[in-house]
Amino acid sequence: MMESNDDKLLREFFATEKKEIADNGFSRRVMRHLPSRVNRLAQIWAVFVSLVALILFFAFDGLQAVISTLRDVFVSMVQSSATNIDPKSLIIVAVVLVFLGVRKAWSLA
Amino acid sequence: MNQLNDISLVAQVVVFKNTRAFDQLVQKYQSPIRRFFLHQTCGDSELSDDLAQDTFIKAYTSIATFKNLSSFSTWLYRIAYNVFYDYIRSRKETADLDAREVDAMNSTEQENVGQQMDVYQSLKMLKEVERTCITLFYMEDVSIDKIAGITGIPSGTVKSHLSRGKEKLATYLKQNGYDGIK
Repeated sequence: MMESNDDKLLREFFATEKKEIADNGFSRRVMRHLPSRVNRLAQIWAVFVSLVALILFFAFDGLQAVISTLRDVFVSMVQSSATNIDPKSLIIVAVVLVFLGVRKAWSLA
Repeated sequence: MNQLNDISLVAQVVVFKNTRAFDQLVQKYQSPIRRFFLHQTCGDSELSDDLAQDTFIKAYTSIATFKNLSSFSTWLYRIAYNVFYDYIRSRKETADLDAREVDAMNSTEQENVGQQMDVYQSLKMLKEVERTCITLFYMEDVSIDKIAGITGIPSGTVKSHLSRGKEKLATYLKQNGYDGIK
């Protein structure tokens, strides 16, 4: 009996306090802080920076600079290898390539 | 029907990353979750809103783990409970304050129309776990089994906390002249 009286007392006491809390911008605040939104902002920033880099690359003739650099590197490599060619290392490279080729063919068979 | 609607919204969030669906869930559950924190913090509305925000963000990031074994509200309360106890633990680690000091710091005066009885003042009489059980049971109408699911405490222990909390509160209310609504 005592137990049920206490129960009733508490239910009545808490019933007066059970009120709905008005949103007052809380949901908007939560939505602003969701990680996907933060990620999306980061993605937009990354796209923007990439676009700027691409525009600058073409504006300053970056493609031509890359091609000429690659050509220089290739030419210098060919020249240096032609002058300093080592027949022993060529034989080792050939043996290794043949060994790898045979092993691959063996595994396929 | 209500639960079906929740499941539909959750599915939209999981599959399509539909933030509008999640917004609907936030709007639906903001009141009970903020009220839960208000009671746990004995009326600190700013702290309650911060913890409620953490709860919804954690719910969003881990929504794919919602397996529909319990209702969405129970799942959300479980996250809220963990957020609150993580907060309490972090406060205890940094400030080395005991629960009663934290409660005292977080308390605010709240006028209760008609009865002049401060609900937050009365909740301060309780231990944290008793407060959680009492408020979920009496304010949010959560069953004992669901409270056990939310807190991870066995049902028998929840009943003990409820019984002790009820006794303390009833004694406090009677001592302060509250004898129910006439």
